[in-house]
Parts: sequence; structure tokens; C-alpha cells
Amino acid sequence: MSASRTDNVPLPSRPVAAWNDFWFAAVDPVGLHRLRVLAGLVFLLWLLPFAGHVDTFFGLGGWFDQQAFREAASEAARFREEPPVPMWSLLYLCGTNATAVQAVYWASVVVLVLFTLGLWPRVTAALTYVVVASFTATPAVPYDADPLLILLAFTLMVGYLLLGQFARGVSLAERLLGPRDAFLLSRPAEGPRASAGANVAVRLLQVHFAVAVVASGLHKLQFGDWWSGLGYWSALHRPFETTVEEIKANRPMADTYLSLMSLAAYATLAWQIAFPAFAWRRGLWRVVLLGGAALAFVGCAFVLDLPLFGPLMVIGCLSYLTPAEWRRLDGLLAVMPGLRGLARVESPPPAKVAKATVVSGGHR
Amino acid sequence: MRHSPSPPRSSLPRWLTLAGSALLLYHLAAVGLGVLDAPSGPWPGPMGGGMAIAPAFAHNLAGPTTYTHGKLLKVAHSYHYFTNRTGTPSAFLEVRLKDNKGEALKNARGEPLVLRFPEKDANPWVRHRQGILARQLADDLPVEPPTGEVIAPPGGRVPTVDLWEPVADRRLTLRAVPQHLVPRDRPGIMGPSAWEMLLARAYARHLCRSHGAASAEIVRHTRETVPPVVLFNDLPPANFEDLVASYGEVSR
Repeated sequence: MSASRTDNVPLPSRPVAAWNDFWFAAVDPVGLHRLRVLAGLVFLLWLLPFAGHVDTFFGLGGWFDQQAFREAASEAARFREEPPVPMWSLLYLCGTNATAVQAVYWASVVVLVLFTLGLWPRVTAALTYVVVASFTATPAVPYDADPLLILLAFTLMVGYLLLGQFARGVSLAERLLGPRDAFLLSRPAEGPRASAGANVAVRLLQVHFAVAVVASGLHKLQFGDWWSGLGYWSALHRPFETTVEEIKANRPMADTYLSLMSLAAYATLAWQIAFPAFAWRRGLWRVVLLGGAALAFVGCAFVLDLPLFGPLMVIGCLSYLTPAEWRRLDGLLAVMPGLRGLARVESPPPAKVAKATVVSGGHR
Repeated sequence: MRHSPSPPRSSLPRWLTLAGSALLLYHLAAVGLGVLDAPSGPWPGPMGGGMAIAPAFAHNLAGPTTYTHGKLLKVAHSYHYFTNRTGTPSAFLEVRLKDNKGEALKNARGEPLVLRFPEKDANPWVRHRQGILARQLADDLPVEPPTGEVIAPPGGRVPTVDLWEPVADRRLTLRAVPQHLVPRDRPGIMGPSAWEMLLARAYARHLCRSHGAASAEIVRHTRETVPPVVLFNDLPPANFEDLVASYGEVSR
């Protein structure tokens, strides 16, 4: 049986030591960098398709115009409630100026590209959070995946704002703009430097993502169809795309069909509600974690018509990988044709990270 | 056999771990309260399905965190996803536009212009968001007739409520009715929510602006999900046809 790092701590202090170790241990920031790249790609995948519809969806002259904001505020004031509209957005500054909205949109795309590449990450991570929070602030088209986008952007911003701030020998430029070795194609000569800031951010993402998964699972239990195992029925038989005749065609195998569907619904509920019990476990539990993420990806993209949810579920689940597991994934990436350039195979293995920390002063 | 344990790797100054821990605890409390401070339901009750309010402790404690994490940082959320709900109707919108003279705008072929959302030729991501636009208008609420007599204030009028009035088979039109005239003998009267009406007006204004029209009529098509019971029994096909509801003409 392996020992925990806090086993040599007196019993009364162990919870505190475990808390500090969980949140503030300095770790190889490889996970933070990889999550940034994946998140950046998802942010681009989310924002770029709106290219021809920017003012319509996001401008104050679009679907939800200035008058609608005023009406929402006065309606809320009548009932002494908070207006059901987001409090701030960069796009509010553009007013009804469609050109300004377009300018902000394309500037935001540039920010997301720079962030994905890891250029000046301290600045671009903060700007990415502002971009994501702004472009999700349109009350006419709220989508369930939007809060997960903001959560991802927020935790990555925290990570890059903290990364390397407590290290010695960091130049002013790096302190303001972020470490140079965050760049996607950089080959740091001295290897990765352990960082407590990276750990805080990844832990925040892990905990927050677990809360989201469990809360959503428990919410499903408020609906009888999930208890009946028919949670996926509506999604699989969308009203404008399914005819009664198509459903009747399944009559010969109705029992099998419903049994499989209810099994899938209960497997989803079990995976979501038990998520914290296996998300942090290694070994074969990784199959449950990542297998579930892969199924969620396929299901959301090709069956349930829930764009963005699949990639976000995968990123959320990958956040539980340890730096050593990320390094192993790098090794796998290196043998895939065309992707070797992205894998930092020459980076020192995790065992050397602590030494590198001492030598370089360390990114705490 | 126990391995020799390695010491905890945190080497941050004590003050920093204390300050960081305090911030983390506040953050985690905010995230947790964001989940708890949400209504739940609908739950079955003697008067039909009803929503249950959020627990009082969570609602009262969530005050400051709702502001910092919900409004400012936007990271507190209930994660009560709309897509967790089952059996919600699907919707699409048809919009007819008119010019200043009250004549219908025409398309390139000289036919009356009818816009449809989601647009069939839009890319899948835009079509998905347009689907959300349409679905937001499928948020009807039951209209309860007043239990007592409604009397107008001196010099004023009796407040009106918007309700859907059947005009033909599976066709509805919006009608503003004085509260005291809400039919008491017709169960299941539905009307659009205030938010739905606000959105319908906003959509109409936007489409008038973008097409140079003077007025727009938004027509909502909704259809219920075919229930699984069809796997075993036949149901009347009318249950699975479009319900068409017109919001009437909205001027720019």
C-alpha cells in the first residue's frame, strides 16, 4: 500500500496538510498548458461560426436590442427582481454600432488564437476570459454549455495570472506577460518549472467541473422521464424530424429498444452522480473517467445535438490527469504522424521536475 | 510495507497559503451556493406541478456571492440545464414582413417573403442558436382566471392578460383580455410569459430593421415529442401535428 505524502504529519494536522498539498503543491504545469491549447481550440470552434452573424447575435441592434434591455430592466424593477440579463459585456460598449461589434469580434478571435498558441499568456488568458464572458452575455440565445465555457476561461485565467509569479529570477516582461515556455512550440532548455499557481488553477477546474457534473446529474432526477429511463427519448425522437410511422417501425423490438435506452439513461445518471468518487482515482478508474468523456463527446455531437458539450466534457475530464499522465500522452502524440511537432518529448520526465524547481528557483 | 513518505510539496509562505485558502473557501462556498440557491421542480402537488423555492439558508447566504460570482465573475451557476428537461416542445418561427403601406414584402420571385428560423441554409452552429431563439418563445404559462371580482381603479382600466385564443383547428392567436373576462369555463388556458412577449417584440423589431419593414408578424410552430407509448398503442395523429400560434403584427 502506498503512503500519502501527509503520512509523516501528526494526525491532527493531517487535514490541513492534505488541503495545502491538494491546492498549493508545486507541480509541472504541463496539464495547464495542454488544457489551454484544447480550451483555446474549443473557444475558436465556438466563436468562429458566428462570423457572418455577429451583429445579429451579439450587437445591441440585433435579436436582443437596447429596448429589450430597457424593458427587461423595468419589468424586473416592477417585481423588485434582478433583471434576467447579464450585468456586463464588452459588447455593451459598442452600443448599436455594427462596425464596432465586428471590430471587437475579430479582435477577440485574434486574442483566442494568441491564447491558444500560448503567446503572452498572462495577458491573453485574462482577455480570453473577458471575451468568453462577453460573447456568452446575449440573453436571446442562452445555451447550457455557456457556463462551462466561462468556467474554463476563468480557471485558465487564474492559472496564467499566478503561473511563475513567485519564482525568483523572472524578468519584468515575463512577470507581466507570462512565461515564454508556455508557447506551444517552445522547447524550454531547462525543462518545466513546477508551479503552485498551475496547481491551484487545475484543482479549481477539477472541483468546479465535478460540482457541475453532479449538480446536473441530480437535476435530472427532478424529471420523471429520467427515472423511467426515458431521458434520451426526446433527443432521439426530435418532434420535427421524427414521424409516428418511424417510431412504429421499432415495435417488433420495442422492449429491447426501451431497455437499452433506459440502461443508457441510468448509466449516465450513475456516471454523473458518482463522478467525484472516481474522477481523482488512477489506474482502471481512468477508463471510467475518460471512457465516459469519450461517450459524452460522441453522444453530444452525433446523437443529442448538443454542440460544444462533448469537447467541454472531454477537457473537463482530462483536467484530472496528473502531470505524469500528460507526459505519457505526449509520448503517444509523438508517435502519431504529423503531431510529433506538438509533443514536447524532449521535456524531462516528471521525476526531474522537483530538481529543476530547486535549480531554477521554481515557479510556485 | 509502507514506503517512506515524501513531505508535502507546498513551499509557499504561510501567509500566502492562509490567504489563498481563505479565497478558495469563499470561492467554493460561492460555487456551492450557486448550485443550491435555485428553485427545483416542477414537483407533483394537489394543484398540479409546481416549483419549489430554493432552501432559505442557501438563498440568504448567497447574497454577496451571487453578486461577486454570479454577476461579476459569472462562474456561479445552478447547472440546472434546460436540456436536462424532457418532453419540452420543439419550435420554429415563421415571420411575415410588411412595408409602410401594409403590403407584404416580396422575395426575389415576387412571392410574399416568409422568413424561417432556424434557417435551413445557416451553418449548424448558427442554426442551433436560432433554434434556441425559437424555443425561447415556446415558454407558455397557464392563465388562471381571477378568483374574485376585478375592479378597475378610478379613472383607470382593468388590467389585461395575454392569452392564446383558438381560431381554427390547432391554430391560436394572441388576444389581450381584461382580467375579469378570462374564461372560467375553459380549463387549460395558456398564455405567453412576460419574457416570451418581450423577446417576440425584440425579434420583430430586429427583423423589421434588418429588412426595412414597417411591421412583422411572428408565427410560432411548436410540436410535442411523440410519446414512447406509440411503440405499443396507436394515438390520434392530430396529437403530433404543428400547433401554430401568431403573435400578431408588431410595428417597428
